[in-house]
This record gives sequence, C-alpha cells and structure tokens, in this order.
Amino acid sequence: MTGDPRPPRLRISRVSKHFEAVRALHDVSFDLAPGEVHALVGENGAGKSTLVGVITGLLEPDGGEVVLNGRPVHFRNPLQARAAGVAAVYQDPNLFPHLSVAENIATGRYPTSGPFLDRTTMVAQARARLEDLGFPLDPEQLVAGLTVAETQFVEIARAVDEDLQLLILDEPTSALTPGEASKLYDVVERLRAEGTTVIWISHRMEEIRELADSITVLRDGEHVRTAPAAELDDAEMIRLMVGRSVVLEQVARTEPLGPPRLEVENLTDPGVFEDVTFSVAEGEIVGVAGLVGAGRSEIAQAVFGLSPHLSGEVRIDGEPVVPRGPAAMVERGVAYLPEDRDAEGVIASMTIASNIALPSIRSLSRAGFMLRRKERELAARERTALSIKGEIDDLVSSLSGGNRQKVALARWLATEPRVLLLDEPTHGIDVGTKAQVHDMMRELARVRRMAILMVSSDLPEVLAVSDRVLVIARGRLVADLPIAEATSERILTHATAGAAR
Amino acid sequence: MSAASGVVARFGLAGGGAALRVRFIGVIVFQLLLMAVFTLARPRFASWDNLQSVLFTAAILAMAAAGQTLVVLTGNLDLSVGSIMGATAYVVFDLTGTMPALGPWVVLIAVLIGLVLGAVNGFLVTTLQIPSIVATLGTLSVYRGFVSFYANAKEVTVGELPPWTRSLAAARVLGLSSYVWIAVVLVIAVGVMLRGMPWGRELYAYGSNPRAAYYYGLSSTRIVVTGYIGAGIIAAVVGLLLGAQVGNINSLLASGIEMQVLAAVVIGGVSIWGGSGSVYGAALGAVVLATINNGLVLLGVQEYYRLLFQGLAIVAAVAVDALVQRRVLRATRRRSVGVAA
Repeated sequence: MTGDPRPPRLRISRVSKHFEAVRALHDVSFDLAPGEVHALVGENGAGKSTLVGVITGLLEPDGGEVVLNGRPVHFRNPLQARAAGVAAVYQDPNLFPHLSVAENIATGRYPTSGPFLDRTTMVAQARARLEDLGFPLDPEQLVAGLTVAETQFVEIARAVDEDLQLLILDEPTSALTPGEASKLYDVVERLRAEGTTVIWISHRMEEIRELADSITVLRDGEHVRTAPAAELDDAEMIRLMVGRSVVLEQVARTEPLGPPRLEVENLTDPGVFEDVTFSVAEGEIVGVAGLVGAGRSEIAQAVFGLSPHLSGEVRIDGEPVVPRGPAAMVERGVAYLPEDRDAEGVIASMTIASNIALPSIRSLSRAGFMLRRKERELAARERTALSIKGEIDDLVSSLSGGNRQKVALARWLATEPRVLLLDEPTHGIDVGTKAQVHDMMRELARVRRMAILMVSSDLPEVLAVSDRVLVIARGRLVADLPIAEATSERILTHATAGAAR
Repeated sequence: MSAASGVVARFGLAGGGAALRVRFIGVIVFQLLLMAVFTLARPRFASWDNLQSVLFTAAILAMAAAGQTLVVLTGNLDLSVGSIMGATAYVVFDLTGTMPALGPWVVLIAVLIGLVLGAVNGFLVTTLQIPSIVATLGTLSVYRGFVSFYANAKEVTVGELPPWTRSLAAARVLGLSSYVWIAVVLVIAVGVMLRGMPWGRELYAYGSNPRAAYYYGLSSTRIVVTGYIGAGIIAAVVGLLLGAQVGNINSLLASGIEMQVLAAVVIGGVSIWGGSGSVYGAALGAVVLATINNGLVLLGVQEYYRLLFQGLAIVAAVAVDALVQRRVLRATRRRSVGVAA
C-alpha cells in the first residue's frame, strides 16, 4: 500500500462469509493504517455489517483472517475483541436502561474494593471519561432517561479505553442532530490524534469528506477499492458503490394502470417521517428506496396501522381510512408482509396449509367449523401455483427462506387484498428464488390488480420490479421517479443528498 | 434438513407436528410403564374397583385441564382455576338451597359465573397487560376471598343440594362413573372445537407467534380473552360436578387444585410457551397424574414421596418440551440467517 514501515493497525486478509446461499463477503482484503479515520462505504447489503461482525468476533469467517498490529487474531466474541482494544458502537445502542450511566460504562470492568463494588471510583472514572470526551453527562442518572444521542455517547465512552486500538462506528450520526454530530466529530479527531484507528461507516458524503483519511468501497460482498479520500470524488464513489455484477431483468408491462387504490397525503409520524404524500394505482408496483433508517419501513407500517401518533390522510379506493391497527386495515383490504419473516411473517410451527389458510379461515368455514377439504384444496392450489417446495402438511419451519416468503405471499393470493405492502420482500433470499418472487409480485399487481408498495434496499430489485420509485431520505419523500428516469446513481444521489441536512 | 426437522416435516400437524405426536406417544408409554410397575408391586392396582377410582380422579382433573389448555395454548396461565371451581360450587349450591325451583338452570348460572370470572382474568391479562402468572395469582386470592366472605364460615350441606345433582354424581353408565363419560365428551368437544373451528386455529397461531398473528390482522385481545372465558366456563362446570360429588361444601373446595391441573397440562405435552399441544394430551396427563397418586397411595408411600415423584414428572416433562422447542427453534434459525450481522 504505502511505504510505511509500521505494520498496518488492522489487516483484513481474504475474508469470506456466507449465509446459506447468500454470499455476504467474498475474498475481502484491505489494510487500515494506525491513527487514520477510514470510511467504509457501500450500499445496504454490501457486506459492511458482516465485516464488522467478523472483526469484532460476532461472526466467524468462512475463510481468511484478521490481523491486528501484525498478529493474526481470532476473537470468539466482542468481549475478547474489547480486551484486545477493538470496540464497535452500533446504530442502536445496546445499553442497560435500568442501570446508571456510570454502571453502563463500567460494565464488565467494575472497580472493586475488596469483594465490593467501589461506587465512588466507578462514578469518578465515568465522569472523567465523559468529560475527556466532551459530553458532560451526569454519571449517576439512569440510561432510561437519556436521548438517543446521549446513549450513543455513553456507548462511545464505554468503548474508549486507554489501550483502544480500533473503534468501529456504524452509522453513528443517523440519529444525531447537527450539533451532536459535530461533538462526535471532535471525539473522532481526538482519537485520531491519540493514534486510534477509526472505521467510520456512513452513507453521508459530507461526513466522509470532513473526516475520512481513506475510503474503502464494498459492493455485493466484494472489495472494490481502497484509496486515500482525496483520490475519490463523490461521483466516482457512487459509481463504485452501484456498479453491478447482478442484473435483474425488467419485464415490460402490457396491462394498463387503473385508478389510484392507495392514496397517502401529508402523512406524518413526528420524529420518524414527515409530510409524505404519494399514491399507488391499481396494478402498479411502487418501489420505496432510501438508506437504512430513512423511515421507509415505518411509512409502510404506518399505512398498515402500526403507528399510534400518525397524522395525515390515507385513502383506499378513494375512501378515507383511519389506520387504527392491523385488524382494521386487513378488513379494509390492506396486507403487510414484514421484513423479519420468521419472527413476524409466518407461523413456523404450523403447516404450510394452515399458514396459507389463516387469513381466510372465516370464509373457509361453515356453521362455525372449518371445511378441511376446502382448506387443503386452497393450500394445494397455491402451493402449485407458487411452486413452493414441500407438501402442504409440512411445517413451515422445514422450508428455506425463499419458500417461507412464498408461503407468506401465498396467503394473500387467497384473500386478494387491494393494497399489498411489502417490506424487503427478498431479503436474504437466493437469486433464483428472488426472480420467482418478483414474478409473483408482477402477477399480483398486473393480473390480480393489486396496488403494491415495496420497500427495498436492493436497488437492482427496485429497478427491476417497480413502475415508479419513491426515494425517502431522513423521513422525507425527496424524489418520485418514473421507472424510465430511475437509475441506481440517481436514486443513490437523492438518498444521500437528502441525508445531508 | 436435520433428522429432527425431517421428522417434524413428515408428521406435520396443525400446531404441533411430530414433536406433539412423539410426545403424546411418549406419555402413553410412560403411563403403560407406570401401570405395569404398580400392578407388579401391588396386584390390587389392576382391580376393576381401583381402576374405576383412578378414572374418576382423572375425570375431574382432565376436564379442568381441558379448560386450562385453552389458556396455556395462548402462552398464558390460569392459576385461578381452583378458586373459580370453589366459588361457583359454593355460590350455586347455596342458591339452590334457598331457591329449589331453579332446577337444571343452575348449570346456566354456573356457566355465567365462569364466563364473568374468566373474562376478568382475560381483561387483566390483555387490556391491563398484567403478566398472566401475576394476574391470575391475584384473582386466585380474590375469588377465594370472595367465597370466604360470602360463606361467612358456613357450609352448604348435602341436604341443600338438588337431589338430581347427587344422583348424577353417583350414577354409573356401562360400569363407569357418569363423570368419566362427561369428561370424555367434554374433552372430545373441546378437541373438535380447537381443531375444527377458526377460533381454535387462531388460538394456536397466536400462541405460536403472537407477532405474526398481529400482522395477520388477528386480534390478540379477542383470542386471549376467549381462551380465558372458555377456561372459566369449564372450571365453573367442573366445580359444580365436584361440589355435587363432595356433598358438604365449604369455602375451601378445590383449593390448591390449580397445581394438579397445570401439572396434567404440562405432563400431557401442552407447551408452556404456547402454540403447541392438544387437549387430548392434557387429558392423558390427567390420567398419568391420577395413576401416580393412586399407585403411590397403594404402595403405602409417604405423602412427601408422592409430591417428590409428581414434581419430578413435571420437571421431566417440561425439560423434554424445552428440548423439543430448542430443536424447532434451531431448525428455524438455521434456515433464516440474513445478510446483516
């Protein structure tokens, strides 16, 4: 790399990691110099989080190694990594809300006096560290009462140690106000001056410009480029992030669009998203793109009645609807497929047939009893139509992720909702099944005339399936692009520019 | 696919799958084993008289367990079952003492009391979001306290009971107590309802994955409350039957039975985490429990050994369930790891 005779602070050497059929990291190698701020960029799903997991011992790589200060290391968990001076702070702080700030900072390294906890020292240490970092919080208050930014500072205070070698910050400013963010910049500058290497994961160009000494771009789990920050301009960085190896086919539509089915006007959930207005027509698929945390899923969930503090108007087929809860919205013909299939999407301990029939059980019964033959006919029909692997009496837990998603979709084929909200419909699904799910979505929209709103972090998917693309940044709708005008570069430019306050 | 999930897939059944079936067969084997051991040790165990007595104890327990199953399937508990039984029996038979004209309407009154007490439990657990173990621990005391207050240290004596309830309690059909037949009918009825009605399907779905059920648009409140109401009604009716059999009813009738009922449900393979198991399993668990109690008495074993043995059976049953649960979860997780760390 450079002519520096010192060993790199951290060397990532040929690291690979697979999850089932999904390749999260493939043969990734790059170096981080001591005392540099290194921006790690890439689209959602490019492998950044997986790489952090591998470095901190959260995940075991399938191949390759991590070398810290010239010594290969194999952390079995984040605690071991911490002991060696490697710490990570995530987007969502992982603190103990019922304990005080000082107790959280001291967790695992409590100062003791004899067999007892030395409270005075613990509080003093915490206070000193917080002041050092420039956020004078009261160490004795409970974490439960802190703002998101404050909890993040507590996390950082916990991570910063005398012998901190490497600090990983995963999207640290996504929940911060500009003032709070600049405090964080100061901390990073100070750490750099002390010789700590910082990995800064971010989507925000202006942050990267302000802080980073060098930049590494990941794409589809592969290392694309590592370069000094001065050598990569914004346009080039975006080009490197989206340049694609996988291309998903678009399928030209022949069926016309109908009247608007879902209309959303000035939808606002304070602090989450604001003043969002759009509509989805009968037969149309509208993709919702944006960065993770921009508020995309929350918009879909709000339409499904999952936000209690909603204001604005929602109309289904022209009729105003108050999204009061899932049961009410299902009744109005709205269906929602959550991102976390296993926890929220399917009932894994029930059979394929029961899962498919569950939303239809009332129509499948007579005099209060279910007509099992009809239920099985329905399940068998949908199973064949969607080529779900497995018999209808098999448990859903025996299926792969892709087939579970097909089961989740199949039940809505049976009830025929008017509006279908999909949240990351192919997250973690292999490429072959992905194409099948896309075909199903087209069929649901074009032939069965549903209005589909699809939240997706997978840009090729958004471009392949959508008729129109909405771009959300920081809780605001920043672009509404007809598919003909949508490109990865344009979407990403809107998403990241909107992010720059 | 692992051996475990393979088996699970092959024996698929709504709300339980192979785990349930294997578990059910396991309980039957355990029951046969118990009977063999007791018969060898005390041949009198296998006498017709003794078996009848085992079945009678099992009948009361199995009916109460059927009600409890409706609650446990949703991932909750009903500790107030004994208090509902006692309260209903005392109040209803006290009424018949003063108003003999009520006749068979007493059953309707019992059903109403059970409905209300069950609905209160359901309200506490759903609307007020009190963990079921705490909520029903509370109503266990409240309901019992209410009877004590109402009874004012008096008993309802045999003479006040309607004669037809007494003769029903003493009746024999095909050589077995009428209660055994009532229990068989009740357990099958609940089983058919759970399996065949949309409501039953929702109960299993909710217990198995409340989050997913919510996204399906199912109302958790309705599901849990109907479970508690079902359990309350069944407990009330069982209380009536028990009262009719006992004769002299004081305010402590059926106190402490909730532990036996829960034990039967758990031994019978209804998952304490909800969503899996069957009412037939719970009834079988009641038979096992009744057998243990009877056999150990015949062996002349001390009371504390009996408790010890019963406790071991419960812990073993739950340990097996935990093992099964972990396997299912592992199979689920292995197939669902996403890209994100």
